[in-house]
Amino acid sequence: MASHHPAAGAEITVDSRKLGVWVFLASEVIFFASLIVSYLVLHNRVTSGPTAHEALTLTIPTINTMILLTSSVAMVLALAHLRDGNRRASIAWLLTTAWLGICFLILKAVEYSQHLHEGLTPSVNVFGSAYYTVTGFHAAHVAVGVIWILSVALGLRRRLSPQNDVLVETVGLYWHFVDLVWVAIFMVVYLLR
Amino acid sequence: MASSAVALPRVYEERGLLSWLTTVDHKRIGILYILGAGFFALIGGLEALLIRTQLAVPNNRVLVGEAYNQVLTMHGTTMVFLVVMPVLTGLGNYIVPLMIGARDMAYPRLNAFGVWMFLLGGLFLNLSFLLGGAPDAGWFGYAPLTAKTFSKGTGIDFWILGLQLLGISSITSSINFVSTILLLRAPGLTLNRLPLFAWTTLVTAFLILFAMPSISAALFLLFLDRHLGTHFFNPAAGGDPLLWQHLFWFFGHPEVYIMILPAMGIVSEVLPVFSRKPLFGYTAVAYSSVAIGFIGFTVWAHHMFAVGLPDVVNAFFSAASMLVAVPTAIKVFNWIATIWGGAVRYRTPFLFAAAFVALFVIGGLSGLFLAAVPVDWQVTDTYFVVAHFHYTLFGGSMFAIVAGIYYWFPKITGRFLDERLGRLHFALQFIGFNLTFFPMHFLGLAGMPRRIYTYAPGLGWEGLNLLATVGAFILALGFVVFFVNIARSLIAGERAPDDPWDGHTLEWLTSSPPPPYNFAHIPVVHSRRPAWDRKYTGNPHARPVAEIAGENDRQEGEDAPEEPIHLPAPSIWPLVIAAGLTVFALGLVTHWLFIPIGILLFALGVARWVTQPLFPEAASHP
Repeated sequence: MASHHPAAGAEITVDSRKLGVWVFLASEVIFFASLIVSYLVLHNRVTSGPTAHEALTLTIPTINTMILLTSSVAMVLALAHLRDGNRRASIAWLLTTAWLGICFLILKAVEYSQHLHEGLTPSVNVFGSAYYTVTGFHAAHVAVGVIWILSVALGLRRRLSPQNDVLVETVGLYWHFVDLVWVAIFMVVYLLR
Repeated sequence: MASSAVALPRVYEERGLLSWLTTVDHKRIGILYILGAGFFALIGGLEALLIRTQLAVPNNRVLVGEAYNQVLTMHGTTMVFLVVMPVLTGLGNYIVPLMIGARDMAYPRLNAFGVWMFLLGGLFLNLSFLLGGAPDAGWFGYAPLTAKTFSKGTGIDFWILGLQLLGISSITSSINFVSTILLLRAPGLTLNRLPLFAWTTLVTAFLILFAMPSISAALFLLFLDRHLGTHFFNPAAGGDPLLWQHLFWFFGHPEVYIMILPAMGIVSEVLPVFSRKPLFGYTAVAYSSVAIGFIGFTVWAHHMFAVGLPDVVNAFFSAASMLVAVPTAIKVFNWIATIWGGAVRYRTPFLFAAAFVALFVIGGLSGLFLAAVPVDWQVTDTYFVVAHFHYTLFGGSMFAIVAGIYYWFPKITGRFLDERLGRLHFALQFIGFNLTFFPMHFLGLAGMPRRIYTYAPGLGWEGLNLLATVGAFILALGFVVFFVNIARSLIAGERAPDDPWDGHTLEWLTSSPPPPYNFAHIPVVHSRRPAWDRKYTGNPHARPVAEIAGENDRQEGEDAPEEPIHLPAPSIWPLVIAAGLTVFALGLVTHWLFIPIGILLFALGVARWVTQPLFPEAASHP
């Protein structure tokens, strides 16, 4: 993998794949910032139908926050074990991370079905539009993360080694980023409702 | 290069259609970008001629109503997303790795994906003409005109999804440029010695990364409004059309600098070489690019002075917009000082680059007019604005792009573009451009609104409109000469040596055209003009450049320590993934059956990409 390492004279030395993910995530910050700003601008302009205060409860999102934060710990452990040369433990923690991500998605689906049951749909009012869009794009990112983690833990497991920890580190960067976005959404959408 | 100490790599198949469809070579990808942009420039140029024909005389009936709106929208969208951006990306792709002494871009397959996504995204966008009508709401797509209520057809959907596909292409190519320029520079090539074209490409990559997601989010919201019944831009249900304008222009204004900064980089390469002097004020020019990039994110609402923002907001954006003049003027003065006292060679690249400086100054000055809120209120949405941005985009970006093509054509093809045809092209383009767009300043001041498809006689607009139309056809003739010149020179152009212009930067140290691996030995850089070090200075490493590529290599032990060269293997999967995304988008607009096909192609492509090793040779001999 000679090309992933910087040229001998470069001042900046970092694996190119890791830098690429960092740069991509920097770009994603603007994407979520645009969505969250749109939510902040619009969510109080409800003309009819449920408002944020009426529709949102804290139970499921709080549990989901804990699930995602725990999953980040699992991801950190997966990387640490891989660097210690313990590939089996690393894969186990990767699968744990993915499983917690799936739990998050299941609970999110339960929450959505409760909303729909109570008449909060994407088209009922601007709050509904913005709420489903912000949380939906985040959930889609969690789903992509779960697929990515599973393909590293299962599909590429033979390539995992302390020298090739970048496979875990890159998906880890993405996963922590998705967690951080959730923390922002939790505060803006749920705590400030 | 037979005497080289380095084992030259296995070179993959270089002939045939399949070799192009599977290429991961940055040079071939650069050529694909440039050819694609050239093809779309023909379409966008024909659209411009249709517009100018319709406006030549009052009450004309060549292109009216909705058809005019479609052509107007597609002209703007095409020129921005399918011509100027990709041709700059293509030149960057070809030249920047050579300039920094790299063997390829940091992610060769992602690079291939980017060019296929651009080509397929551009075709997808233009497919709308055949499938129910092109988008017709302007390249800025203001809400609520784009809502389902007012735009019932699929044109807007083609526009939304086409721009998303092109956005994916831009984001991937930008990630690639950032990693390439930061990580793959030759030994000794510090950021403080980085050629200006690489500098501006780097800054532009960051601008794309931070601007593109904003329009991407806005386009998603618009798509949801149209198809899921959400209310983001629907004022009747509490939505906000101004939200679209903010999200669009938060992208749209940096986009202006995305299109001009690499062009400034080209000019900063061409002027010193043809003035036979170092660039005056290298550091100031480099840092002013960064400054323009930063300030570019704080000026977007100057496109919205007329929508009724509070005075204090308008005042802030007015002041910030005027601030852009400072780093821009720094560049202009440095370019003039570069030419000043130089032993200038008036070859075609120099003519276009010098014209760039003059025309861009005119565009910059009318930009200052528009940054002043009261003036903007007078001339907003008039032809004054059309004149202004064509002076920056055509007089600016396009003149610099043409300069770059004349400058690097010998490197890319091994042949010169014809000098006599080049001068004819320059004369026609310069005269035609000014005849077309200078009168538009006066049309705007005389109150002619933009985006109208006709006008009544007796308003004092007839003469200038006719003049502009005549100019447009002279301009088009200039491009005909350009294309003829390219075609002729490819077949029978004068053979170019490796270093035809007595260049300053590393790309002139390798053969014309360069071998697939660029350099047999990665050169070591000691200054901002590494090619001149070899030729002229008292530097102990300096040696005159001979015409044979092998002679350019330095003595043993002097170059960077060598690893065996491995070229990345060709791959069809980037194209398959790009095709999958395009088919998926087609399914969203036309028949749902395309959706699963697109997803399958995408999934297949990703799975095979991930499991295919980038360097099969290196993998088999660890």
